[in-house]
Amino acid sequence: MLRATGVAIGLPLLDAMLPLGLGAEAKAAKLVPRRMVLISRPLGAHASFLFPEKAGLDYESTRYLKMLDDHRGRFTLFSGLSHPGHAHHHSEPGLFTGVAGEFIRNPNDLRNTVSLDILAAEQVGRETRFPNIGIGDAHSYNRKGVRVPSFDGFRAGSGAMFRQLFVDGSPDEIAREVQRLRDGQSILDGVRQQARDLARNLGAGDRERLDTLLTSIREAEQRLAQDEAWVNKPKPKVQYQTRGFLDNELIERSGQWYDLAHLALQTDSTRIINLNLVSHIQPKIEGVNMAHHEASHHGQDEAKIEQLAKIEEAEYRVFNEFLTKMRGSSEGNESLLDRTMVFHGSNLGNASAHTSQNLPIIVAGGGFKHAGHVLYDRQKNRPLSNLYVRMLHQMGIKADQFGTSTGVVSDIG
Amino acid sequence: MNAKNQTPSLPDADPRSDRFRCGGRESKFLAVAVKVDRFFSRSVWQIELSSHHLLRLACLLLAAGVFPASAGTQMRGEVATLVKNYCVDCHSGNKPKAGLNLATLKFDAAEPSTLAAWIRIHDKMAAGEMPPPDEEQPSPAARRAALGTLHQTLRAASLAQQKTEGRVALRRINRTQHENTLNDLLGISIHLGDVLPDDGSVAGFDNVSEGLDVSSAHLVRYQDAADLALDAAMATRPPKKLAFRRTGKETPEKHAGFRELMDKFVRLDGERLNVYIGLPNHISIQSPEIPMTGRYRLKIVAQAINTGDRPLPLEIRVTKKGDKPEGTTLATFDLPPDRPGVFELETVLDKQNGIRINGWQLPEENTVRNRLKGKPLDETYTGPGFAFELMELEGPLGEFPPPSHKRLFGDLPLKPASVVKAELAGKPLPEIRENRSDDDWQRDPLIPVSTDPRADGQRLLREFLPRAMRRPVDGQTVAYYIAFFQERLDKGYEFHTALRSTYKAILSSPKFFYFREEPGPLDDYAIASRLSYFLWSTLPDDELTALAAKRELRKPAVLRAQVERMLGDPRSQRFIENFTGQWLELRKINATTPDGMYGEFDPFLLWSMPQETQLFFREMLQHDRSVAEFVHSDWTMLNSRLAQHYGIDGVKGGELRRVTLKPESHRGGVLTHASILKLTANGTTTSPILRGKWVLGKIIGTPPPPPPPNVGAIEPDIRGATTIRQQLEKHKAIASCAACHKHIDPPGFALESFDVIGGWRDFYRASNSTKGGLVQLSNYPERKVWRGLDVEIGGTTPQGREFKNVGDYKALLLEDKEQLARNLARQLLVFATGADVQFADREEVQAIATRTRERNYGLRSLVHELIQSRPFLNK
Repeated sequence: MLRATGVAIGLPLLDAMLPLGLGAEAKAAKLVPRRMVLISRPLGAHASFLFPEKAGLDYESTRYLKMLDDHRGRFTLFSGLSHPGHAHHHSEPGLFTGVAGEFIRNPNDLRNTVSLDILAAEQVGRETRFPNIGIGDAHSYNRKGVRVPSFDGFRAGSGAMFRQLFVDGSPDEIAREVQRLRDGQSILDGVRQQARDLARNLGAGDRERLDTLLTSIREAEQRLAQDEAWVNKPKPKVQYQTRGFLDNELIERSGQWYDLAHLALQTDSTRIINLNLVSHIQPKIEGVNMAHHEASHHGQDEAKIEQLAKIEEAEYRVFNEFLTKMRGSSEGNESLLDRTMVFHGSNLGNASAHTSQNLPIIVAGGGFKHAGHVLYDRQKNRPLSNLYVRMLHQMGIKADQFGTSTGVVSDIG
Repeated sequence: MNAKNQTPSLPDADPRSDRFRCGGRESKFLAVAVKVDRFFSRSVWQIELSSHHLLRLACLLLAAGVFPASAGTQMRGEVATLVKNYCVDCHSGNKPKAGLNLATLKFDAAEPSTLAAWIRIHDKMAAGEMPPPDEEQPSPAARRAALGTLHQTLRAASLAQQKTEGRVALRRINRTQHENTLNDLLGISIHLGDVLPDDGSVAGFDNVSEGLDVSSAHLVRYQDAADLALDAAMATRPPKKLAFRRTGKETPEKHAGFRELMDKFVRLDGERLNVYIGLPNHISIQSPEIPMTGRYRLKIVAQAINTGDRPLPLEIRVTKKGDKPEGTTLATFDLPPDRPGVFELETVLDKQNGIRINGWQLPEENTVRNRLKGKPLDETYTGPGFAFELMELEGPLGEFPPPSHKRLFGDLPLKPASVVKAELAGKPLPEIRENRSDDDWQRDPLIPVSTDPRADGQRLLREFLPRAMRRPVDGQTVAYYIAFFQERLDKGYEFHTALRSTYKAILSSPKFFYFREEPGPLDDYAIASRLSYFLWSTLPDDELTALAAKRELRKPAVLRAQVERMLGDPRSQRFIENFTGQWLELRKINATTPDGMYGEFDPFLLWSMPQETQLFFREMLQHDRSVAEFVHSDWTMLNSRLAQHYGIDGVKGGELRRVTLKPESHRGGVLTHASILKLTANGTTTSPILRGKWVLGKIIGTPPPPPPPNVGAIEPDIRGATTIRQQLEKHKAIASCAACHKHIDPPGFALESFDVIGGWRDFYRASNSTKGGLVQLSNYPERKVWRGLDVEIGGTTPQGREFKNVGDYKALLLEDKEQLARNLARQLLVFATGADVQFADREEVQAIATRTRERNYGLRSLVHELIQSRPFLNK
């Protein structure tokens, strides 16, 4: 048992698995797990309290960046990134997909594409019990643009997630689960047969739709098979007590999700996490007497802006604690943070104007050579998807293009 | 069968039919689109701008042997010539206007995006918007001819597509339908909101096939949903009965929390408990938790106190353990002031639900404290409250085992598993105590027992399959599931486990989750499903299925009678909720919380808002009121809370009822419903753009295109310095903005007299002190707000018609009632069939509107005509 940041964990076998001998270093580099955490918030960030004027590593810390000063040099803040054509609250589903603006501009007619986490999970998800984890109505979309269900943000979600990650079932429960997974696979086999049967009397277009169903069936079978492969393996043991929070305990709830994310990564239960920290109502934060949504739509009212700042400061503070925990955990000769790229951002730039330009984007850790403050043109933004391509590369995933990317961000090494 | 009784089917897209005459000539060109399609999987041709292309096409057609060399070219030439002479200059090159390159645009009937482009071209030309008025124009004859050709071509392509594929692509049931289908099939009440993924929304509705892909997440979750449903349906233990009865007097004895309120905010009055405040969540009059899901009978007896001659609205809520403590509102019941009121209801409640009651609008503790000035609360107190006499909650009602179990296992005997085991082994039977614990039943549940598992299983599966799949099931499919069941028996599964597993397979099958529609006229079963999913959001009931089996459903009179029956059934509430939830966007009612400036907003008002709109729609549907009344009516559905909000006197009590509106009320039609006005604002400010867009898209039926990417956004300013109108002035000045905003902004300005929660206003509120000072609100005497700038109302429509206020604007909208009817027909068509309106459907939309003209475009007539129409009765 290893004690780290107040929790005891069973160390995964990664350290022991490193190869020795000739060419070992290159092999080892390939074996080093790369991880990704995507954190989204719905209401932007007050620009003048976040973005410094100066680019580079020796920027002057703004009100929000002060919260993150512990990690200066280990993260990069980007100014001037956005998804072309995105705007308003209904751009949320596109944050991690970078879908073309024309497919997301009409809230009643959304045609989404695959999100970064799901794409990455397709590549690295086989290694872990969970290919990926979504938390709190995460903006995760599969290749069909269907939203992938998450652990619920408000109710018993944290407890359910904890049980699934860290609590072994009784032998009976495990046997039932094995049964369920096998049954599930033979049911899918029946789905395939019945689908072929259906195809007989359909037009060409509908037969094409049934073909895509067959792909989905294969994916579902793989999912169940992977679950079955893991179901008998004991889960890592951690000491942690989850608890339910009231709707208004934004910071406390976020803290718990960050803790669970940290534990999931530390135990290598998953390498991909998509965490949506939903917040619209009045959070329980000292000095705050206004709903988050209302404060963010401040209409230039100074008092509201101050309320907003208090909320956002607290959000960056608890994010900072997460980075600290990630940095405090080591794996091999690196910190967990070094092996985990942590993206923190929002689909809105200025919530008061409902614009999605100049998004507040921070990328921390992940083995990048960080650049402090990267300042792109605030009038003519670069596609955020260019950063996503860079992140995919860092995950060891070949990608020429993602979303509406036009290239790749090269400002972080 | 006479001609009238024939199902409207797709017209033959053959040019020999005189439907395809164009300008008096027979259009052989159309044969290209249709006939080529029979030879090639996709018919592709180009608007030729060079003879080279023409030649290639001609060769292609000659090779196909369907077409004489000279035909078609001339007809196509009319469009081509016009495009070449008047359009292509702007719409070509590296940066074609509007991103439309007419030099390279193909006509490909199988490619939705190019078809959509041609439809847009047609519509822009037909509306006279293209070529732009300040550019050179084709002669009226040339325009007419080209439009005629284009119209016929597009119509033919659309019809051909509908004929071979159907207008509705293969469609699955959506999440709401899935939940209702499982619940109604089995007679249970489960919730799948947390189980199944969200559905995509296309063309404004979440039941349109294009938005309903089946991903791997669905396939896995469908099995989870089936598990949940089967667990809920099967009886694994005898019912755990609840017989709860509590009087007012007993309440503080059982609930210690009341003691701290006693004689301050509540007091005992004989057998009654008098309550004078809105009770906090942790001290409330409530039932115990429901021990198991089922139907329960609820009875509440209470009376209003000190409310004069007015009733006091009582809120009845359902809570769920672990969910938000305040729960959700189940009903509002008006307590009479002069005698005890008795509220009785039978409803399905879930395990861990509880019932809780509270007075809507009773004051907070401080208000009562101030009134009492330190004196104890006694009979001399004159503040409002209610006297709680009695709450009873009994259930689960009905027989055991419940119908849900019988639908799966028939009348097979139920015995504890331990007893079955002992019987099989010939051992002495274990003793089953009368009052076994939950744990005992968990460990040793009841299981259905079969002496002939093979035969019983087959019999039950044969009964279940056609109901689950909503149609007769062919022998091969039956054989598959019987084999599935048998295989499990052979593997040593117990009878009930093997059968349960097979039911799960059926409820995860594509024949369960897909609509079964084949190109051409729908068969009777497919019609039954369309009807029931349209009007009930669930599977057909026995009567519909029986009519389908008798092949009666396609008879117009039978269809009409069924629609009447279905609209009278309580399940039609699902149609009202799902349709208005999306057409009018009522689902967004609580998407934003109003700013602190709107302190009069409260949960009672929030609850009442969508009620008004839903009940309004129900009233319209029930009495076949003209769809024009969505724009303006001299009545609406109100309770005391909404009436106060609207400044209307004389409405007492919390239950909504029909109220006649005076002309000076500013209200009438859904445009002035607080619900609509709230959901088109963002909680802090109103935006004429959002409201204008809503009116165009939802009421008039001419939705504006989404804003071009990267346009500047309005930065609201609530400090009281500038009005929204001042900020929007530049829309007028910049031509590229004006093109759309001349349509969008006027309806928005017409509604600018209503604030973010739908209250009437003459001035904007400010968040802090203004020169205007504090102003008292006339309908909320206790509320004062900072007066900001005056609201500037009125405007000019794109046709140059001026309006001074919302009343004027509504009058302008009412000048074209048929447009309102067409819009509603379109919205209903999308929702009813699960596919967007296609080019060939336009004539049907018009026909539906026309046929309701003499009934003044009544809503119920519109629903009937839609159901009797070609798009509804064909795939």
